[in-house]
Amino acid sequence: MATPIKSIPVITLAFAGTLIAAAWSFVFPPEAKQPLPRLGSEESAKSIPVQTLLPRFTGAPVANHAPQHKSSTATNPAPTLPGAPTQQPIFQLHDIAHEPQPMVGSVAVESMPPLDIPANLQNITAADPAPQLDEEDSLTAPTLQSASASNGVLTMTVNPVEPTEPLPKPIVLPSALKELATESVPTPLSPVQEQAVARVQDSFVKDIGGEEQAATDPGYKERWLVAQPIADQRLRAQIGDEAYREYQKALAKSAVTTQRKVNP
Amino acid sequence: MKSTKFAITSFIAVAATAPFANAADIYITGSTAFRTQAHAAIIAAMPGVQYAFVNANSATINNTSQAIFKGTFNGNATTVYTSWSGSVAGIRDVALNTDPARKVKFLPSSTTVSAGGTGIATAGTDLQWAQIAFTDNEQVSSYYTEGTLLTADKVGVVPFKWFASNGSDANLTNMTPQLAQVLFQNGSAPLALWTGLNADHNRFVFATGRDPESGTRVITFAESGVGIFNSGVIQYNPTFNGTAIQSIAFSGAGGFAAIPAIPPAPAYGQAESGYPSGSNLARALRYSWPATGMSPANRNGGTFVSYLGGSDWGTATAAAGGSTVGAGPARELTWNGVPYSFSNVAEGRYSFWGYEYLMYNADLTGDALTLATTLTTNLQNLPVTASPSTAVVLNLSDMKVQRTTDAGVITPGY
Repeated sequence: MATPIKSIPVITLAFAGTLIAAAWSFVFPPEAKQPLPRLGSEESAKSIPVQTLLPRFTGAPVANHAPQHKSSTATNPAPTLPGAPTQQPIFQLHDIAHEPQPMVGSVAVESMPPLDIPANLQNITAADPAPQLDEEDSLTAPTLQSASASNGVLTMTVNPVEPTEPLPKPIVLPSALKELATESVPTPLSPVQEQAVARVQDSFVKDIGGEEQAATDPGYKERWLVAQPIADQRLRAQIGDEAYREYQKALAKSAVTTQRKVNP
Repeated sequence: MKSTKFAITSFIAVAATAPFANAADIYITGSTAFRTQAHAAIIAAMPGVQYAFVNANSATINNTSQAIFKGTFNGNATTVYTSWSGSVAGIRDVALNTDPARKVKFLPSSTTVSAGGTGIATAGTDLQWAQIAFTDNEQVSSYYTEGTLLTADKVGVVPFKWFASNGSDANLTNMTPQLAQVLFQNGSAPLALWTGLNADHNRFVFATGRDPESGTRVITFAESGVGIFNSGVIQYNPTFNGTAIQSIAFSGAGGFAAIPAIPPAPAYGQAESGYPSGSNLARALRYSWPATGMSPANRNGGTFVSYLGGSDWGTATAAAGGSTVGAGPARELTWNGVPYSFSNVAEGRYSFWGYEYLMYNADLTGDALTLATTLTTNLQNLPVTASPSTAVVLNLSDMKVQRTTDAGVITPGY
């Protein structure tokens, strides 16, 4: 019987799939394949994609803010399971700060063919620790603790995030304070809207307590976290939805242009 | 009995005009949307007060443009003057109240007052610096943030509504940010965008509204995504013939009056301008559109869509007859499919609202400061509204939700 799993809050499928493949290859080499017990009905085990067996999270995705998993194989094609849809399923990394309920899940693997495992993961075993995630990932996602197989059911246990400890909010610069490299990206704003940006800058500085702030002051961080969304909402209200969208695009383009100058 | 009444009245009249060592004149300006509540708060703070108000266009103390209150406050003979010209104008005139050019027109101190309120036919022209402003929006949502940072306290919640003019198509029932943006950035839009009917491709909805000194306009353009400082807004000004609209224009002879630059605010052209008061805008929405005879012809059978604060809802929707103007009532629209109701605002379902602020300069002193803080405290401590079905503003105690800035995200307050 499958060992009950404590919790599997969030993981990217690419990473999970790769690890499953690695564990599968280690525990059940091709010549040792045997029928596997299933979760639920036979039909469901054959037809339900892996991701539907895992918990879903409804919190706001943070994928736009989180860096890619440089240490994982997220960029490699994930191995697919029999019966799974041919479209490569991808788990989205979600902010789980407001989803504290523990999750339980298992992955049933049946008649899995030999998998093409990337060379850098050939030596991973079910007992190996998961690759280290970078700092931000470690704050927003649980880390894989172990993977094991019992009677053919591959299980993974991850370290759940403590529900009583809200995850820290990232420090974000308000749009009004981001620098637009106007020598390469023309501003989409009218002079009147540029004045609005300046006023929102001033109001933000006032809201965080002024310019002379000690970076080590916890109150400074708290004020910043409160003031930042207010500044962004103010800017949108003042210049309008359309100009706000165009300004965001210009800022993004500006950031890329600046980055290319620094690191061509 | 009659002699007793006369004696009391005479005593009040003498008391109200008797010389006091610290007689105070206090000048208040700002939001037209909140004037009903502002006047009620002033009357409540000055027991036995007598007052007068401009009753042009059948205005009452609830929707007048100017009023004067004479009585006692803080132990001193006090006269409070009000002149309502809009929230942004109020912020400007209080923030710049040492500039001679920023004096505001009030009723003169010699205005005759009475316990029940005396109607005055003509607006006052007595120029004074305003000391206190009621505003529908934050100071940062205006141009006037440089130099003087006003003390600002929330004193209530002001809801707003969209309206379609009298006789509008029955299928025009709702407004959305998309519709607001296409309408006010172009001045007109096909009715089909509202009705979804192919037959309405060549029928048009036209924009009209308040001038840029209005807090109602600030919140409307912030909430709808048009943008407070969108310099591409077009609003039409109608002229009337009987109970019907005769013509509309956004520029030229029939357009609204342009607004000169009052730095740091730029000048506003005719197209960007609008009605200086909500009551006149509400009246304009009561006129019907002729089916034929307008030029160009695509204006025949048109419709106005616009926005009003609570003080003007009654004017817009009053049944035809009596002292009303136009052909009949304008029609209220839903916002994002949600109808206005007191509970829809209080619970966060209806998002077209803003906080009302009482603002004054940090150097305000004496009875003017005491009155400002008294009005603030009294308004903030108003109990939950007893008759929400007839209320046009909400007390802070009514609200179950909150937002952190004009048109900001609404979050639970519980």
